[in-house]
Amino acid sequence: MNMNEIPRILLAEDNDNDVELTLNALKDANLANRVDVVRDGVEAMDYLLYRGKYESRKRENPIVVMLDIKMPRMDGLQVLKNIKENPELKNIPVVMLTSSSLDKDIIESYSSGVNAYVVKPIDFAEFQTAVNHLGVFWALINKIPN
Amino acid sequence: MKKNKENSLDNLSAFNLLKDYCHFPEAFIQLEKMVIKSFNKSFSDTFSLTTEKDSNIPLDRVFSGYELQEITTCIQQASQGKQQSFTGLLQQTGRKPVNICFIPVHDENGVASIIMRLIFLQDEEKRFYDDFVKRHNRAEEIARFGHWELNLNTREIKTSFGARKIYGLEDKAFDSESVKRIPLEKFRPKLDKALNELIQENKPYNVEFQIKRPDNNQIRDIHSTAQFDKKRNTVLGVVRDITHEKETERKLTLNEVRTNAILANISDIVWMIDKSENVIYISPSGEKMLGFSTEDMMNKNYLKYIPDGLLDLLRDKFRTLFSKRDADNGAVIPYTMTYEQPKKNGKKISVEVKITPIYDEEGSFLYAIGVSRDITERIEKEQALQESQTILTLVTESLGIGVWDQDFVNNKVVRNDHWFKMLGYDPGDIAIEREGWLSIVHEDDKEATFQEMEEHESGRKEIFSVEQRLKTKSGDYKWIFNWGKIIDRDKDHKPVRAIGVHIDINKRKRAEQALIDSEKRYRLLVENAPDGILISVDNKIVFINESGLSMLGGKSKSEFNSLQLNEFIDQDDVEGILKFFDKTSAGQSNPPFEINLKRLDKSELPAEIHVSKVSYINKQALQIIFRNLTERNEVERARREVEARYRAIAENYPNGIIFVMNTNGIFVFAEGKGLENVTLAKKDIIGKSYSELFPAHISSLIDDYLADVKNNNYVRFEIEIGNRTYSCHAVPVKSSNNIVEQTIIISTDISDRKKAEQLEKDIQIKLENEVEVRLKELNEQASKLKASQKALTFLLEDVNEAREEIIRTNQQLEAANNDLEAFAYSVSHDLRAPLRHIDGFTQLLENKLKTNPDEAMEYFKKIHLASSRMHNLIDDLLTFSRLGRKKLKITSVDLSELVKDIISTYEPDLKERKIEWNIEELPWLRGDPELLKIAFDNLLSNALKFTSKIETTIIEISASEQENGWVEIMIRDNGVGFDMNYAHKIFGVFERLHSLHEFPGTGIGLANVKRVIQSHGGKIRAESEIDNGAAFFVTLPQITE
Repeated sequence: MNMNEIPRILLAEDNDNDVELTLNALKDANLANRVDVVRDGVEAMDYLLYRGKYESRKRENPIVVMLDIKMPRMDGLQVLKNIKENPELKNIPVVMLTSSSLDKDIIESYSSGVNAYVVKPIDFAEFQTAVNHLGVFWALINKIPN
Repeated sequence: MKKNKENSLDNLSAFNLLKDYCHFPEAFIQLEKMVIKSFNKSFSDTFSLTTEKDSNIPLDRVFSGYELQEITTCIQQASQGKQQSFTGLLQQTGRKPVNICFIPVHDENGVASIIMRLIFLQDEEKRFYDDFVKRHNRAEEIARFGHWELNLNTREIKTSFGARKIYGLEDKAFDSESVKRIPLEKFRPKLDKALNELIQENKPYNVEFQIKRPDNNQIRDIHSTAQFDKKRNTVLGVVRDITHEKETERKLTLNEVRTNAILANISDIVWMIDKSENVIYISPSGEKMLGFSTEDMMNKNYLKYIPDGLLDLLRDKFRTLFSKRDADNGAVIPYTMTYEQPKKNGKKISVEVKITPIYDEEGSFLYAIGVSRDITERIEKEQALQESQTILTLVTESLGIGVWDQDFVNNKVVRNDHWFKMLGYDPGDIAIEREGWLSIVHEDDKEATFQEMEEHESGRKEIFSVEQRLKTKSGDYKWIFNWGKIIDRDKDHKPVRAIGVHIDINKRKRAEQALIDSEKRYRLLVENAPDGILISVDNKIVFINESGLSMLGGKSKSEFNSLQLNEFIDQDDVEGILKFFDKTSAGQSNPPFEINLKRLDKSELPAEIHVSKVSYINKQALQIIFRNLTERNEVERARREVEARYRAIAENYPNGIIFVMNTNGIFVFAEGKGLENVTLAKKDIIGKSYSELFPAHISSLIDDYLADVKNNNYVRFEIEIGNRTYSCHAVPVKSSNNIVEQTIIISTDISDRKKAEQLEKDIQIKLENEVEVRLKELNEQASKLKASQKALTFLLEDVNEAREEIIRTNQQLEAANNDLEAFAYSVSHDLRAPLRHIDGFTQLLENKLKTNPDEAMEYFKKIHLASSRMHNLIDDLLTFSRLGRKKLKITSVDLSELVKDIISTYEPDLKERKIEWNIEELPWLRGDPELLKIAFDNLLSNALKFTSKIETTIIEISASEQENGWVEIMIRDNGVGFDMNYAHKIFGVFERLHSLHEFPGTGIGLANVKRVIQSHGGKIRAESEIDNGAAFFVTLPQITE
């Protein structure tokens, strides 16, 4: 199966360690090779709107977007809002994948229309399980309107 | 003669020889004076004569008619001794052509007899004869000549070829009656008469008449002669067509008539002189012009009529003309001269003479034709013109009249200097065309000007005359009277030339305008005058103004038309006025008098009237200006009342006296109750001056006081006279022209009041002293009060300060709270991450150690890094928290030194990098050296961090002084910079604009910097552009010298 022909997963995460650990977790579900990593919110929006270095990206929405909240330049909450306000993008499932368990962030995420909010567990096994489940559910099970 | 005689004898002997020769074909006759003496056989055979050869036969027994006529003529000729010959047709011989020779035979006495030799022509001769006839006819035709023969017995007319040609007749015999109708009717009686006279009285027939040719109806002139042949009862005539001659004659006659008529009627004298200088012709006008009769002048030397002074000149001139014409001098040039020609009566006229010499073919002078013209009038006119032109020039020059002369054909106008000078122009300023003038005509006058031009050019108006405004060089307009006339027109009546003048009428126009204005003003004045004005002529009202109308109770002016004066004024008054009017002269100003006018409703109106003589429409008129006195009388009465009232007041003026004093200081009025208190009676005062009434020292005082009154000022003064004190008010009374005429002095006895005043003054002094004491006490109390008030104020200030302190503390608390929140956030997010990473990598390490121990090293490293990051985060957070709590230790900080110290700590790590430090002189700051070091350390390490990927790092530090002891320090790098859209985030805790793997950091550094700067009361801001470096501006208090 050509990598470009199957739907992509967008992971927005500025921390290299988290990227590595997340990809490691998704590997078990055979999803790691479908993940496109961006380093902050601005880059995420460039990816989604085919701007800058993503200009020539295949014209296709990712099957799910995983967002860290705390990122340089534009944070995950702002990216979430931008996606949900854009008629072209609003059907993309967005999962917040973050260290923050503050009520403020959870409430703000849900009121902006997040599809799932996941606090990264400190325990790596848990983390791995959570990410694995997330990937399988959103990338393989969940159906979104065309 | 002898020889002739011999010849003659020979002729006769030859005849005698031949006479008897029977067969001689030629016939011979010997004639002696028209009688045939002998003839030969041929002759008698031919003419069938039976008579004896030598018998006497008269010639006309043998020949007749035309032949006889011809023969007779020849015989007569021959009798003169000349040999003749004749060829013709002989009637008697059956129209045989014959040639007859007449040979004279001489004896001692001349021609004795004539021998006729008849040679009958045979066929050849016949042809010859036909030719002859043809030639004859042709000759007749050319000569327009012909002959005819009227046989009176048969009334038959025979005509020759030429005659028929002339008459346009056929070749046949006509009866005389029909031929008689050919001449025009008016000639027929004359012809009949001539013919009758020829026949009956043998008068010569020689007539001229006109015929109308029957063939082509042409009118021809005919000359006819005829002879009557009694024997044959026949008239023989010759006709000739003389139309051409007659025509020429008639033309000549006509020309002559014309020429004569012309010469008789022209005023010029036409004359001719011949080679001998005699007058050979002079036209009838010469007689008229010069007074000499034509007879006087004819055949006289022309020089007789030339004035002495010119004799030599003229003689020379004429003689040159009269000499033979110069061959080279081809054309004949008339010679023209003018001179004064004396008349018979001694007077002289000016003549212009033109002389044309006439030469013959060889160039010899024949005669001269001269034409003399009387030009006296012309010369006089020219002189007059010249004189008038001179006068005109003089006049125009002296009066400053502008003159123009327009050439319509070329559209050129010649203008004199004054034309231009009048309007302030130089001649070049105005275009030479008519349009030049039109261009300066005032817009409002153009229409009238064009109309006038059109009317004059069309001939409807004889003169062009218009008053117009013309623009001067300075741009003003000047009134000009423009007058002109077309003096020459072409055959189509179009103007060719016009002349005219410009006269400056500006003053007049202005005066006119002024007059109109003044009339307007006068009318306005009269109409709007508050006084009634009426004008009467011959006792009748011709004008009344509005005021007069309303005063007399009228509604419209027409009511007054032609009313008599006595309708408004008592007859007595009218008479008085008229008497006065008679005495007065025009324009004289007369004193007014008061009368009662009668209004239309018969009520009375007291009025003051001025009567004057004016001119009204060229008539002497009476102008009455009347003023309603009702009101004035009211005022007068009111005035009197007021006066009485004031007198009453004055008389009763209590405790004082009112004086009125004239300019000489004499009292003219004194009233008041005060008089009762002085010893002086009213009569003692009036008429005296104050210097007479008062002692010298007092009167001199009064002098001083009153001096100012004379200057029109009100003066108040007090004066003591005796033991009494008077308060005086001196008031100037001004006349209408503002001159002080009188002084009113109101004096009041204030002696009692003065005493009371003194008493009051004493009490007041006491009172004042007491008040002063009280005031002192009060002041003391007040100062105490003030002190306590001050204390209270301080207290209040303290309270305020305390409150402000609370507010400040609150704000600080709030800030701390915010910091706390951020702190909590960072703990929940940033501090958890390294823990998670440590756990994750430990787990992975565990797995790796089982599967691939070589790769495990990587995880150890990562675990180490995560834990050291954890350490850094905790350190920075501690610093941040400490900075929030730390009290500032303010001292002087040498920023240069500080920066130098910081940079020196970096040195070991910067060995691999190329760095350019541009550090200007930096100021001394007032602040906490420890905190400032943290702040600048952060800023400089940031600058180094974000330039780490640039080949040559440039870091610039400078300071610029601000107001009120502040200084702004700038730290600029040439690093990656950042997007200004996220500039608001950079000073927040844990805020980063770059991902960790690009540039490491905790995100607390700039938050710390901001904290430090803010705790010093300063400000921080940043400017940047992606890939173009960043600049941080820090404002801090500096130490000034």
